[in-house]
Amino acid sequence: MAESRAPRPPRSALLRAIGEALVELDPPLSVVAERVLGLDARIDLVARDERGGVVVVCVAAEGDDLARFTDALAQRAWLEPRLADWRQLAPGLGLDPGRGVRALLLAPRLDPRVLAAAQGLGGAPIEPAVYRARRTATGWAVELEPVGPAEPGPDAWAPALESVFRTGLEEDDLGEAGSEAPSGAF
Amino acid sequence: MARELGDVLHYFLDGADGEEPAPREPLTPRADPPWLAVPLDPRDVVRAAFVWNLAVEVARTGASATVIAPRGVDAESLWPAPGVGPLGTELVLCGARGLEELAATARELGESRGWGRGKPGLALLCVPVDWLAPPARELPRWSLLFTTPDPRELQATYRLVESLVRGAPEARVGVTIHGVASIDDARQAFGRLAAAAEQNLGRGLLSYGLLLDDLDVYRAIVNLRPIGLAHPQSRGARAVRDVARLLLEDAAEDARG
Repeated sequence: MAESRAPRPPRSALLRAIGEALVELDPPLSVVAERVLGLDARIDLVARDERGGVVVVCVAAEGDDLARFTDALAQRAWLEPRLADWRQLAPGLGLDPGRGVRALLLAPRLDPRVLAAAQGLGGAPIEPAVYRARRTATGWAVELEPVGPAEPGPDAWAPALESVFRTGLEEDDLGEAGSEAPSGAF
Repeated sequence: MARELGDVLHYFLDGADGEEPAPREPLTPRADPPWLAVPLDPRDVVRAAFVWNLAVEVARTGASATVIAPRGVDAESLWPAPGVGPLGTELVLCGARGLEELAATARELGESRGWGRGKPGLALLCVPVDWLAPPARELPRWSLLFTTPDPRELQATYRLVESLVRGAPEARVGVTIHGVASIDDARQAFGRLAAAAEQNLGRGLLSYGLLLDDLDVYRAIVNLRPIGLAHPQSRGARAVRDVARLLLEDAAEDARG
């Protein structure tokens, strides 16, 4: 049976199917929130990885990926300082603010400028990926194909470029705190 | 315009009902226990004491914990006698004159003790910083550096990071910030160091939390009692425990390959 070359599922069905596909990624992601109102726009999905790292998922339509790239950056920056509050309010989600926030930008096709910009960001990771939607007997399914720099090598010890401050402590654990912030050129 | 947090809570609170955090995988025994090199100035008794305190907190989790160091370091005055100490933590002083000999000692100990076959564990190797200077033939694969937010300290630590990663491209270098009173102080200090490593060396750093500038910590060190035993509920003990947890998690991840 002939299929449409570019099926366009309804937005809600697309997000649902993407949420299911995130679980198949390596490492898998699980959705913890949908359509969260972020910085002057909605974040399509907020997901977490196995270690509690948070991922902002922005889903772009055809030709919209460059604009959504900047949106992903902005939403990531918006969300990061709120994670500690989120964790306090919903500890069951297992979010780990110390692991920072990544962003996953999904689009049917990616502009080369998006790929170049994503690779150049370094400390503010935006991970682009292509999605393909297809009809199934029960609705829609999505395949995700991460697109990025070279795959990490097989050595689990391969050093990461990104450095993320980690701690399981919160300021409350430290009692009276608040020494002067260090200054200096370093 | 963005709404407040309370306006969006329901988006994820619904999903939280009955949902537990992802289960932490158990530590997996492996052929050798992970060796963590801790470069130390032989006169740096405080950081050496941190190593011992970390080992005790590792042992508290049920993992084996061994500190291996060359004889003659000043830290001996702040460590307990060699042998098995609190919670089964072991201190071994050896006659190694270089990192290779220290690593060989760790290897032999691991074989004789059957490390990794019974339970997870961590061996902390105290490495005099001089041993890491070129032309060191063997550099540690996994290191933990202690530093304070003081700019001179950060610069000295950066030079150490540089030695470690230039000599061993696959090396993973972790940093614990100490001498701080708040998480934000530690985050800022780590950020400065990490930014320098990323920009100049093209390498990231692993963060292993923070240790506090806390009277209880130093009092416990002077009294030769691990902070986790002397003041287990103190904020200093909580910080040490958190660093130990991060180390064990990474060790377990390595064990899983």
